[in-house]
Amino acid sequence: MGNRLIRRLAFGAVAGRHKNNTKGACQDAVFGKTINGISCIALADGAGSKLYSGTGARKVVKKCVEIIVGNYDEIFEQVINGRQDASKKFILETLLNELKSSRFAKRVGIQEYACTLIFVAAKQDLLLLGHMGDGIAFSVEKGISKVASWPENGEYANETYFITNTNVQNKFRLSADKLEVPRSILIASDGAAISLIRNSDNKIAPAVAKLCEWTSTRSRKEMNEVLHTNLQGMFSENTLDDCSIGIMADLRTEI
Amino acid sequence: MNNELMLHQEELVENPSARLPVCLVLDTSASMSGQPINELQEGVSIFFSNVLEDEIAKYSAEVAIVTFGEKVEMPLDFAPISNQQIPKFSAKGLTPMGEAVEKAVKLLNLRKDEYRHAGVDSFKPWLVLMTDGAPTDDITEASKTVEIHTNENKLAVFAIGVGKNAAMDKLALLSGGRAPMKLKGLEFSKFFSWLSASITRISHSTPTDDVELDPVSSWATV
Repeated sequence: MGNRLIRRLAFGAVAGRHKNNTKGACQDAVFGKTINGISCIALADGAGSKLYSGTGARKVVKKCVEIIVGNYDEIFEQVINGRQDASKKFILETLLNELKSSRFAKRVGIQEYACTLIFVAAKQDLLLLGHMGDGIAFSVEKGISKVASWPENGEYANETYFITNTNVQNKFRLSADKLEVPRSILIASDGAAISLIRNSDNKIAPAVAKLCEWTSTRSRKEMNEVLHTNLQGMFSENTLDDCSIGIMADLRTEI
Repeated sequence: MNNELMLHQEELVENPSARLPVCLVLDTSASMSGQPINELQEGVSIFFSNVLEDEIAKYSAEVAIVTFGEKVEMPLDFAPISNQQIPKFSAKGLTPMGEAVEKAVKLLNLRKDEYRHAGVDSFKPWLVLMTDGAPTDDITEASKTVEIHTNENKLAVFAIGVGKNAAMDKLALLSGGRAPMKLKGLEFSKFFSWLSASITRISHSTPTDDVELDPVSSWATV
């Protein structure tokens, strides 16, 4: 008899209620993949007032997953050994180059593709977390939820940091960890976070652990549908903003 | 989809909507008596009605009123607009504008601290100053306070002059770099309609939105 770690991903995004009248597209984007035993989910929230920020968010999450999965060992090694700056530079430069290659980037500038970023990635028991701007990451171990990465905002409700801002490497937080027990991670945009953590006392909603538990035992297809339905039906009731969630759920089973 | 996989509202948490504190700093000196004070009263009433009509703005906007005339007073303290009664204005006395502006900035700062302690998000505070005359007190300190706050992105000021005797040069010293505007005639109602629309727009904004306010041509002259 032994143990086997099962890691499952689920993710979803829905447009906010304030876009119902304008038929505006969702400016949150979330994407995840598992390749060669490396799992990664990235979530980006496009700047509300920027012309192509939804496109920017979608390009950034895909590229982010690609570069983290493709360079996992090197990035993890740098971050766990305190050499985050090199990884931050590599990740941000690669993402900005991706945005620069966008159709209208030369004409309008990459600021019009502005978005925030959160990603989580894992290979066996090695975990990486990256975060710039608003949104939040929770961890769940043995059913107990904690905040794994807090939002970093400006002073007011409509201010945050984007990957396209100048000199923001110091606002990009990267951390690495070696897991001793299975740990699920839920990342959420600020729109979804309104329903997941109460600001007055930092109470974390029971939904965090529940969604992770559901994800750990269900197929990605089923769980993506569950997330979409809940985002549309429950989370969107509490905000006008776009809502998105990504989950990487771990479950250890006996074999 | 299996109904068991639907979250219940009690499995989520609630947060109050982000607050937008607005302090109206209104001239109620003797020169405002008659039609101007009546128009001001009507304008403020329209402002409250318009904000209350909006599902989001009525929970987001919190308004205080500071008047300056016979003395500097706060006839209305910050609270959700749906719980507020508009005070009755009466015009008398001088124009202690500097003291009123300093009081308003202090009130806005206090309110912002209260939001922070309660874990409530907020937008940048607004100070709306309206006068038909010139300050009768020293505005040096008030001008410095406004300048510091606006330079540090801690305050937005809208300074409005009413009538031909409004000292626009003095208003400019209290407007934190944003040029003061002059009300067309006694178009208080149009100004307050614009103000409520602007507040509604801010309260509907989501994080990362840059909000553009409506043109002021309906109520302001250049």
